[in-house]
Amino acid sequence: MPVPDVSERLSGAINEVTIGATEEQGGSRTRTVTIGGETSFPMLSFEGRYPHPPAFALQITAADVDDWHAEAKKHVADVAGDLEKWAGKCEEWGADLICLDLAAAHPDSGGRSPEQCADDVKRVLGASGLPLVVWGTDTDEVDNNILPKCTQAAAGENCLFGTAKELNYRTLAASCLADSHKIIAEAPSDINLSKQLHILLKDVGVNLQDIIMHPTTGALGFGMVYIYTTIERGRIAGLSGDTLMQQPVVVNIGKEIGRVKEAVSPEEESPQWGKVQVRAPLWEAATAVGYVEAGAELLVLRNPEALQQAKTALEALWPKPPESA
Amino acid sequence: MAVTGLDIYKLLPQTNCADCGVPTCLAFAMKVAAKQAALDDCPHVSEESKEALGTASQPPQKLVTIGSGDSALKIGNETVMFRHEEKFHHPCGIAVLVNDTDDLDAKAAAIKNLFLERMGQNIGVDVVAVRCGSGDGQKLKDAAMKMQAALNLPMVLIAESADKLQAAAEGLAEARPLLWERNGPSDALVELGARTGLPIVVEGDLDKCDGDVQKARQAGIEEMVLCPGEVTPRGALQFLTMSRRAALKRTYRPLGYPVLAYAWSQDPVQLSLEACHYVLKYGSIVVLDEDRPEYVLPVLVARQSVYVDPQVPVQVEAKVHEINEPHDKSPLLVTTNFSLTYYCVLGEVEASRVPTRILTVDTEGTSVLTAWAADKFGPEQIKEAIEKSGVFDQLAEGYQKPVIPGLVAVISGELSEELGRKVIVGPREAGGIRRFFNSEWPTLVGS
Amino acid sequence: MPVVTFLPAGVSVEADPGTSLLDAARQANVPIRNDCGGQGICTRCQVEVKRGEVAGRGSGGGLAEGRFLACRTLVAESDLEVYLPEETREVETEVTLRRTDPFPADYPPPGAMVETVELDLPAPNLDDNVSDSERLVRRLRKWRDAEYHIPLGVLKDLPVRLRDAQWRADVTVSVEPWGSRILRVGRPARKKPYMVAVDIGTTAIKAQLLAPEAGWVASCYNSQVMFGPDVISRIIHCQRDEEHGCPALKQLVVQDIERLIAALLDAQGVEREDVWALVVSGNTTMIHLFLGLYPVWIRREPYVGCAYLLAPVRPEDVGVNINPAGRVFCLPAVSSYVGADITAGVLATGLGDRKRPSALIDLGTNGEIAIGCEEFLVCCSASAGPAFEGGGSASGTRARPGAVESVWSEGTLRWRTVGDEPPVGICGTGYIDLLATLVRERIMDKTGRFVAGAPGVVQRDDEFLYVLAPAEQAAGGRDIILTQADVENLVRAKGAIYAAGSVLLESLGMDWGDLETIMLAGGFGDRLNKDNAVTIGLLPDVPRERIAFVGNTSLQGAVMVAQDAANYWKARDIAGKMTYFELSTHPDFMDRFVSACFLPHTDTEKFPSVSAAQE
Ligand code: SF4
Ligand code: FES
Repeated sequence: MPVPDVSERLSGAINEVTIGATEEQGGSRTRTVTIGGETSFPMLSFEGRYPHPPAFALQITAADVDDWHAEAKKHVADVAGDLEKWAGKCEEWGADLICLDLAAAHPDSGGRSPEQCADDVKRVLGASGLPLVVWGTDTDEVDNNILPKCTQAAAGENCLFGTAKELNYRTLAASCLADSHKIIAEAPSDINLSKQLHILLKDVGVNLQDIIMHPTTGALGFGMVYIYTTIERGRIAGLSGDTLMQQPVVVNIGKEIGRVKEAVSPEEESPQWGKVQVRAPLWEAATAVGYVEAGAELLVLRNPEALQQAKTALEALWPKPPESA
Repeated sequence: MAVTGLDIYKLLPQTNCADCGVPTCLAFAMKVAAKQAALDDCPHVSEESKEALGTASQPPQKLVTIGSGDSALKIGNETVMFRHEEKFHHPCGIAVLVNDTDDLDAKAAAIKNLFLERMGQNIGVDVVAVRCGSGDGQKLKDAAMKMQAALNLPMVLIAESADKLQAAAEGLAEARPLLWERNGPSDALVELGARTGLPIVVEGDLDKCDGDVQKARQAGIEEMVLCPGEVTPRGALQFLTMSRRAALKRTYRPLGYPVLAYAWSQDPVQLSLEACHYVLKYGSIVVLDEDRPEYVLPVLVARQSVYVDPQVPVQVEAKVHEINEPHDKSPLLVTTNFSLTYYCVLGEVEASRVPTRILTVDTEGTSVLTAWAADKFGPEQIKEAIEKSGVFDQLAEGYQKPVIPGLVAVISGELSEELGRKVIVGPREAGGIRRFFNSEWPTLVGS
Repeated sequence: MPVVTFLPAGVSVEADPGTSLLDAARQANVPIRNDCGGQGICTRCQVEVKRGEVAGRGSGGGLAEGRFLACRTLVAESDLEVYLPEETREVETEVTLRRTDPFPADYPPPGAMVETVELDLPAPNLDDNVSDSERLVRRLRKWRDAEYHIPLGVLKDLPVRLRDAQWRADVTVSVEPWGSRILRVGRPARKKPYMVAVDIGTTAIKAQLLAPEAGWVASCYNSQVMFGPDVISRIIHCQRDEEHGCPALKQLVVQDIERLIAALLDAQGVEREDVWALVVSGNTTMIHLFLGLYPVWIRREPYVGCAYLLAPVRPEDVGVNINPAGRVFCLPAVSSYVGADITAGVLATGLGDRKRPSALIDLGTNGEIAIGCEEFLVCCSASAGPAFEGGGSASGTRARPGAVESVWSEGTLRWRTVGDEPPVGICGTGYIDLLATLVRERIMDKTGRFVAGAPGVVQRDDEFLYVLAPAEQAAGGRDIILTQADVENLVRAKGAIYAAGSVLLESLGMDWGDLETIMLAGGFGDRLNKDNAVTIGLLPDVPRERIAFVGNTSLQGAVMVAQDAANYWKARDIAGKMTYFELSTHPDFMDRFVSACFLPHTDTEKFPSVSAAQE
């Protein structure tokens, strides 16, 4: 009896989504990033395509970085406070995209005005040719205040803006529609909630092809596995033809690493865990690789070392399509 | 194929006599389908029925035991490709490689150091892989004996040829090591395995494994572990995926064995990432040539995470959780220890930036309303939890007022009676916490 | 201890500081309306504090000046005088009588649970000198072979009565689990024994008189509602007040039944003495409370009731006032959360006799679902809550005159009420229509959230709500509204029902499409719009002819048992055959529930007709 052929041809495919617009496309990016397009579970080249490698964004912010853990902070210490310089650094570090985190708009973190935020967006776009992700705050009112100004400031650049949530999606959806950006739909680790949000967005005119989903993020050992499984479940649905689950997935990992003691606790406190300068980036990279394994395509990190490590690991996994080999 | 309760029901006498301890045949059938009961528990089931069900319910992947006694490692018997479909049953072994030429005492000490506890579970390295780097079978045996004495962990014995494994296999047969002849098994290893009754590794691509497994089975070997050999991480992933699919989805028994994955990367960071990746995707034993904790730790945590049973409601510890560095005039929120409930509350509290204490009451991982309905989140339980935590001692006069979820507003009166203090009824959903903190809460405390 | 006096009744009670005014009123046995069971949602419990200081936060929040929510306002240190405005006092004690098709003149038919036969007995003589009782039983056995039991009371009079009737006597017998009981022997009266069938719902109680040419169903609110809207709150009350709680609840339901019987007898012109049996259906907790059985373990793991299969009892044992020699029968239950109401429903709909599987969905407070055919019967409880019975909602009401029972759009929203009376509230079918129409008109999104600025949507205290009928048009002088919390409740209730049905079907390896008929039972109104029920995802999107509205099957089942003892046995068979599924621990339930908490459903492809209509 020969070994049975177990490859599965699935009826669905993940949407291909491009972020960024070059000059010809009406923007000013030096390149664009496309994610998605898979027709099988991650990296299974014997049965399907995985046309674009997972993309990495590095997070930058106008807020102070006091709450960043030491191992991430040390890399950005000399650029924090200067978004333009920091953005330039990200390019050097090998990021595919830049993720501008707008935490500084929250009243407790400085309360930058909508205008200042819009200006931040502009300056980052001016300083680097990478495609841009703009990530709002955790507070709806603040988001509704600042994001419309930011989408406007980036009009034509085909950025990715987040996040739209079940209780607060109308404002961002309208702004992204008006200024032609892609949108992050965030639903807490549940494929039903995620699908519901996509329906709501569709009902207000957002194209399902323009959505990237964020099932929220947890670090390895701190909630990751629930989200990992949520992504897997969504991917099964999407590849089986559910158009509400064919959106690529983004996870925002950098922020989460600081919660994990094993990753960031200094050696003096936890000698049994070994060197922290190894642990911290490795933890971030391991979390990223884990998420890719489940199906995530866009990973937001903080630590440039982790970015390098994860990229190297994924090179050994990602099956380059023949044309780009 | 999954057998439904109705399929099993048809095989039963359908008399609802309740001799099985379940009120009806259908209920019993459902229990059997859910693997909560065995068909044999019905004294009236016919032989034909038993047979009909027997073949359908045999596990598609063999259970393999390595090691003996308390520390034995059981792997295999997996039933699903994705953990949410049921769960991953047998946590993979994580093995550290030791060469018989190494400083064995130092190695043993390093491995002992990787014996960790996390969240009440032992998550340490639980297998030692001893390799015959010396090329001398006797040396391998000595090294294996030494590791056995020092660590008493299940072992994988690795050598280039069967003859080098023989001494160790025979000497340590009691300890049931897994025998791995590189690129094996040769006929000699099959013979050795059959004679000693020890599990062996079958290495190669799927076709080779297929043939070798059948050969070894004919020789009488039952417990085997597949291994894709020295391949790239991508190759290994494909091997792992395809072999498990063949077993689970096609019931192809020659590939129905657990798989050993070796992290070949040279760079320790890459090696660690590679190992994590095998832990997530179907490796049953993952071998690392690395013993420094900073590299091994993520692998151990990945295993702990992915083998959590997704169908058991996840609980957080029942205690006072301090968020945003609370002080003596901070709110005290009370909720259940169902992790989803807790994390919803936590998320909102963190976003509010208000220093807060969250007291999670042990409701066996049920949500607020369910727990209330089942009498697990009533005034007595909350009172007990508050008293046990001693949280009032940390709060100033006028602030010792627990905030209970709005969904159980009905218990506020009785709870305040029990506590002899005011109880504040909070919002019905976590989403209302921030508004509650801003508008209502300040007006309700202090006096 | 402060004394609280309730006006205008003038009843006083001592209450500990910290007690809510609602609880104090309960202690004083002063009924206060509270449709949400004291959760501060329904705003029905408004009172005025005339004298004294109160605590808590029962005022403000949109209430008129001087008004407090009794459930949120606490007794402080001082004595209080609390005035109950009229609408708060209006705990609807009123009984509604509704006509139904009258029974035939020779009703009830032979074979009923209690019946009277006219028997000719051979007079005793020296050769045939068996005792009177043996003589009677011997004769009865010829009529119907069974074990007979003659209670002492009947026995005492037996010799006199037989001779007085000159050996031609009317014998009234009841069917009992072990045989038959002789209730009365006497001269032929040519009057059949009448019966009353009762359905004790968590929210409403209904009763029907079984007598020749009788055609009445009487209904009223279950007065226990003042202790909370669902069975759990009632059980908690028993638990809290171990001494008085359970007896108090029993007392309330017995009083309600008494009032219903009185209304029925009155309407039909029948005497109490002529009612020989009460046949009672209802969920397990309601039956426990009716019999005065302590129900506390029903809610505690592993959820075990005191008794599911109940022997008949004497009227005086439960305290109902019918012929004292009569019998009270309770239908059998399956489990703590699947009660006699479901057994009765299965009986009434013939679910267990069908060749192909069908479903019975009872949209009551527990939301039970039974699926089956002649081969199997399974059931589960969805714990849906009373939302579709009007419970726990700002303007909810049961289906009674003035209840908004249907809603549609003609550019603007239109509605009609039961009996075309001025609106008093919204009943179940009204809510179904309202939700469906609001989604269709995009006044709310598919999660049920109101769209700011949409017509009819107003903002009060930071919350959006929809005004269906302004106070000027309404009977109670209050806006008839739908709040965001109401929608959440309704969506959760319908989600629970659909999810429970889906999980139950999945565990059978079946799908909604495999069901021959989906029968919807319950007392939520008569004008069920099937399309709207599908539009909101309460019912699956199957061809509409497969959906049937079957009314109050619990009462129907009780009637069927009363009029034909064979059904009594059948009901027991049904209860024995039924397999109960506990969903609260089912691994898939939560997932199915979340996906069903959307309008109509997260998996839009499961509702093709709804998607098509929305395109
Ligand atoms: S013992 Fe067998 S026949 Fe009896 S109820 Fe159980 S399964 Fe049915
Ligand atoms: S009982 Fe007070 S608001 Fe409902």
